[in-house]
Amino acid sequence: MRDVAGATLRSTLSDLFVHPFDSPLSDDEFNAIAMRVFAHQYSRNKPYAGYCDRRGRTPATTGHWTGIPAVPTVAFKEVTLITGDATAAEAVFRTSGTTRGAERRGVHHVPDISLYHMSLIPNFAGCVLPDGAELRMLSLVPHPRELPDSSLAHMIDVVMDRMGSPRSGYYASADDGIDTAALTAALRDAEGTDEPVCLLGTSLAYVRWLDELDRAGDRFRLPAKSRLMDTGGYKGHGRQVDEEGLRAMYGELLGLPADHCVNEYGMTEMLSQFYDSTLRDAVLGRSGERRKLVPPWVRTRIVDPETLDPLPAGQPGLLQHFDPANAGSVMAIQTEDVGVAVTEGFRLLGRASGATPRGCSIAMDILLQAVDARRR
Amino acid sequence: MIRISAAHLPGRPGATAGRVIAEQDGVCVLAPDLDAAQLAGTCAALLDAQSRLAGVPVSRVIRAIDTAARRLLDRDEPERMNVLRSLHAISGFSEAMAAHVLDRAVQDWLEPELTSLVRGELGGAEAIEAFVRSPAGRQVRAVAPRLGLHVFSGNVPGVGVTSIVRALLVRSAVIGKSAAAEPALAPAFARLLADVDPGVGSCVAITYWQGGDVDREDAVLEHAGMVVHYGGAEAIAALRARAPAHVRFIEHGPRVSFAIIDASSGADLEHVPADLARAVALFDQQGCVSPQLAYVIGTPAQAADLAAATAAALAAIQSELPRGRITPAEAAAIREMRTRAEFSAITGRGSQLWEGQNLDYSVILSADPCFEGTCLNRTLFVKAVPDLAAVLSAAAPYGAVLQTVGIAGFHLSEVRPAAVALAGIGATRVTAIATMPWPPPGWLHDGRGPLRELVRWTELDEEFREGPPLSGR
Repeated sequence: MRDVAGATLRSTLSDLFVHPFDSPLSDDEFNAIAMRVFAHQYSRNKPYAGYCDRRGRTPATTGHWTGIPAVPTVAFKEVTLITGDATAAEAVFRTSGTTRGAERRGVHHVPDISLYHMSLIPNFAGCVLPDGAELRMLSLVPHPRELPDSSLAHMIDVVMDRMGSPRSGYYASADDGIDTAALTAALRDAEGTDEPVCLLGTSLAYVRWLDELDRAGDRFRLPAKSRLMDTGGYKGHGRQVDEEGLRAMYGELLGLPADHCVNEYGMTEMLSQFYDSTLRDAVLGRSGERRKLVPPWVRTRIVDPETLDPLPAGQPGLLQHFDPANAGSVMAIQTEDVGVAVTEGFRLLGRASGATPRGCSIAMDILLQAVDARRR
Repeated sequence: MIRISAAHLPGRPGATAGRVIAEQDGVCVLAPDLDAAQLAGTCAALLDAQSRLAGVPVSRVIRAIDTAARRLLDRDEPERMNVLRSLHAISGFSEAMAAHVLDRAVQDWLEPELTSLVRGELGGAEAIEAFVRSPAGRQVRAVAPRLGLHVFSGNVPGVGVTSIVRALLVRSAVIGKSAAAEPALAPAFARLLADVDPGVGSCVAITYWQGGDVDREDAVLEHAGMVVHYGGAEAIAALRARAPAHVRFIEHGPRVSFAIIDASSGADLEHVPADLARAVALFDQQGCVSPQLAYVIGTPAQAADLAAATAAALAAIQSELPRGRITPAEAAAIREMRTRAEFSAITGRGSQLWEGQNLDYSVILSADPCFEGTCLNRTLFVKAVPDLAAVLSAAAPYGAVLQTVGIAGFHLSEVRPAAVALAGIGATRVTAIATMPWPPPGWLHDGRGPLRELVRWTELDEEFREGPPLSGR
């Protein structure tokens, strides 16, 4: 994106990411940007161009962003989807392994890492720090040095560096998990000094840590304005706790009010994130149900799982995102996440993948299990 | 809202209401919530009825089954209408597929087929009714456990009824557990049977409980001498682990089927794409006999031709037997498969994809000859291989779960050696592709005799041969 055409697009995008958070672009404004990103990707991302050609939907034939072909996330496991030269990527993020260990991991090549930073900062600030607080951030995700593939670790590092107080730090390592003793000390210190903190971590890590805390009979009453961001699924590991159950634990064991617990929905294949609305609503004195906020530069559609046609409001379907922050790879992403549109955002309902097909006929993953079992 | 009962409890005609076990698209399926004690009572009643069946000629049992089955073919029969409604609304099959599959399945429950099944398996009904001469000249009699617990699976309509029919033919009473995904056909058949011949019908009870319910299943296992279990490997393993050692456990777990087409032989393959497409489309590929993969012995171009023609045939079938409803997860799985194939094609890795609108069907030509299944719902891999040996080495590791192999294009002289080799790696049935979906009633389902696996043989010593008493005794 550093060539001439790319440079103009880059400056357009950097302007875009500072767009006022609560005023989404008009359809025309979004369309103008989306079509430029599409043209950029079509001309420089060969596999994606092939995908568009097969559908007969190219910049020449498509005038509106809704016609831009969305690529299923699984494509990131199959091909290198980068606009330009993959060897010049400034960062390479990979999806975590799944329960099916042998499966290939999705790879997201990011040609322009500073552009990614320009998008993630206002989004995090708008949803997790809407009061502009500079907080001590405590990460339950290891440092990116230890998890170089993780876009989440990278994001947390950037957030901490740019927006955290100097006493922010890491309380987990890839090998040993959460450093409970150090974390406890930090939180007791926060209680003692009445300095609010911001915890950052995966739901899985929180469940493990809080279960341990609960068994030990420990409780915290974190200072006012303290908050927490959690993210991610469980991928079949450990104890399953639903979102509400988890928030009840945050309240009981950490003393955090539910509206100060912000869930993030993000994916390796997409550089923009979606955060819960609750903290922003609370700070701005707005009411409204808990929902995922769509950053002003993103468009999210709910589509029929079979036809991929957009569904009427209120009907659950698959989430399809158009994210210009993905200018360096593919902007239009078809997920397997199920959601439903609500006023000013959407609610995430679950995932459509991972279910075993019905039937007496054996599905591939069971086939693999059957053979694995014999080898063991 | 149409209410359909997933239960039939002889002697408890009022007990068919109860709680909802499935509800969709205007159809609601209910079953009484029998507790462990009530199930034990049902078993006792079935054993009582079975003792009366012991004096009934097998020919009468066959006639009763035949008459009940024929009523399922009657367009005005309310039970038929309800079964079709449930197959469409609850199981998700298209209306055309539901009617097609029901009409075809019933053919296996008619008198000529049943008579020949008994003859083929046991030498004739006499072996069930009395001591007969075995081929080795001994006096033997076939005796089945008096009561069997039959656990049905949801996706191939008719499998549950076939299981009931096989048991009745050897005078074994049935307590059947309906599947939530296909809850209507087995109880409808049981009701018709009770209506046609109350004596025979009183030996069959169908109800529903959540699979894995230890109290209820243990109550039934206390009375049953046999379990016939269709379904997933985990459910089968769980019940097997709890069944007492003396209980005969017959399982029909998940299996995978595939096709081999010899395009190098020069044989006429014109009918193969249509046959293959039909085998893939029937039951929306959810049968253990449904092919998921077709190996083409020949060049990649020959495999591509076959794939293209099969895709065209699948498109044609869509109007006659439309694909059924799929879940969002199934849709996601199909899209994932297609996406992988598409990008493999775009990046020149040898794949090609033929796809129908709205995920109707997908045929993927893959350059990787590995043995792999698809995500079902009319998705097929086609792969070129140089020879049969390549197929055998790819499929051999999956021997334990192999089921039917459909073959085409083989010279007659090559069929037998190929079948020997396929048997050697674990396949239990080698057939023409056209007949893959509908094995004959007497087929060796998963490699075992369908009636023989239900019975034990009692032998009467030669000393007591019928005729004049032996001297000195």
